[in-house]
Amino acid sequence: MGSLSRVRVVILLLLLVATGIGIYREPAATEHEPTTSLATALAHIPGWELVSRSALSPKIVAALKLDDYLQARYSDGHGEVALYIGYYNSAGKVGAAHDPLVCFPGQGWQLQDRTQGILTAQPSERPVRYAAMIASHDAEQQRVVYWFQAADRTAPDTLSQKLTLWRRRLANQGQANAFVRVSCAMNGFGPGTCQETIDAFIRRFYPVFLDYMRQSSTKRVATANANGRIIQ
Amino acid sequence: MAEPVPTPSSTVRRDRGNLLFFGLLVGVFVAAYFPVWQGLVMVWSDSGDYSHGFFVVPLAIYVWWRNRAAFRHDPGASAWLGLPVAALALGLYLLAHLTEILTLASLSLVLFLVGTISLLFGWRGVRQSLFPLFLLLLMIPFPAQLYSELTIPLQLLVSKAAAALAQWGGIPLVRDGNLIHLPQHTVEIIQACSGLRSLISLVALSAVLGYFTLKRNTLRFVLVLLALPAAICVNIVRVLIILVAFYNWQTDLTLEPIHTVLGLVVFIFALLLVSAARGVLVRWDR
Repeated sequence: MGSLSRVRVVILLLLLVATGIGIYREPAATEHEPTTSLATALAHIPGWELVSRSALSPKIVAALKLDDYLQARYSDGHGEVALYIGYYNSAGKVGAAHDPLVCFPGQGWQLQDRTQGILTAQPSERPVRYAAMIASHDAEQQRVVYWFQAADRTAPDTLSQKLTLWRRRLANQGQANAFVRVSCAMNGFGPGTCQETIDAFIRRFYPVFLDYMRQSSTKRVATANANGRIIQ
Repeated sequence: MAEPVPTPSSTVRRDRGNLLFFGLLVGVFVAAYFPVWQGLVMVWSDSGDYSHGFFVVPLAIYVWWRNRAAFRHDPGASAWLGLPVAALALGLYLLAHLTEILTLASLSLVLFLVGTISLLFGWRGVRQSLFPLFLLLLMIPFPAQLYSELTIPLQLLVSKAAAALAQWGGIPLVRDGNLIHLPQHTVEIIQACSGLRSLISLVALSAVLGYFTLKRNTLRFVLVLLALPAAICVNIVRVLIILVAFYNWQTDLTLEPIHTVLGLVVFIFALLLVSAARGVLVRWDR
């Protein structure tokens, strides 16, 4: 072995032990389970009618480790949007493969015109910070707007979401988070027309959704079945 | 008064003592970073892109062991700067653990090793460790978003090139992004066909081949760089083979297990290309 500074080894050992204590004794993450399901909470959005709701297969629910989800279409009589929300009770499942930049290309969609935007849904609340793009597959084109929700804050990317949840974890605050995607089929319309439809929907949808995210109770975590209902 | 001359038995005792201390350090390091190792093993097991990770760690340990004579502690050469580097790495580890970012936690692991090596063995030790540290970097998974950003252009490149070659060979087709429409069928170039999976493994193997068979670092670096076009080219050839098989013999080579076997064959072909490149580079390796 030759000559080795034992003093330095001891210093490194102390640093590692201190870090190990920090790693293995981290404060337990607070898991918050809302009192109603997403489907119930978002059954009525002012000015928008629920057209249809569809279920994900149990395989996909398991792969995404969803605690709850909603996949539905809404219409205001002029335009129609598709809404998808993947909800998690805790931060431990952040990054469970929801990012459209990962999912869409893998399913054959081509992405273009990627941008970010800010929309104020309620003057008294923080604006919605989102990412947007046009997704194309065969002859189909969609305007897609999405964001990552961390409690009552929005972020256009997972990293910002993770940092928000980390700050909340240090403050022993709730870790509920979600991925929200709103899309609109362009059907010959320009992306501007679709964006207006999406903006109009988010202005009505987001306050209802924000209320849902603020609900909290401490119960044992449940799992979502194929219909997105929370089961014990 | 003259310094006492170390006797052989005292030297052996000292070496054994040092070995114990070093072994303890390694053990505590593995224990502290155990969640990271757990996460990495899961990624290596679940993803075809990083299965080479299982070979990287033993190989890195072997290279360190092979060069162990270079790690004789020279008090004049040690760098106390290694201590803040190691401390910074552990701070990053704590942050990464709380935010559940495996990539950052894995990078902190490598940074901690850099700090430790420089603190205990000096910058000469770090220089001797550059290759195993580089290997350890290759076992770390890309963040999913970055992975997607890298594969999207590669997917398109593979689609464009394969379609152009097929058309030049007389196959009628229409390319729509990553979709290649043949008269009877449509082939979709997905992420797994982009070449990035074989690229990471090929870079790792090229680095190993260069390290053990070439002497000059410049030539080793060139060999690693050549892995990039080799991986992309063989994926273009793979897609071309699929298109030709569809058009001429109505044979679907995208079905398993044929698709995996074809992927393996072209990967071996890529390795042969890199070996041939090494054969050329060795002529300048004096």
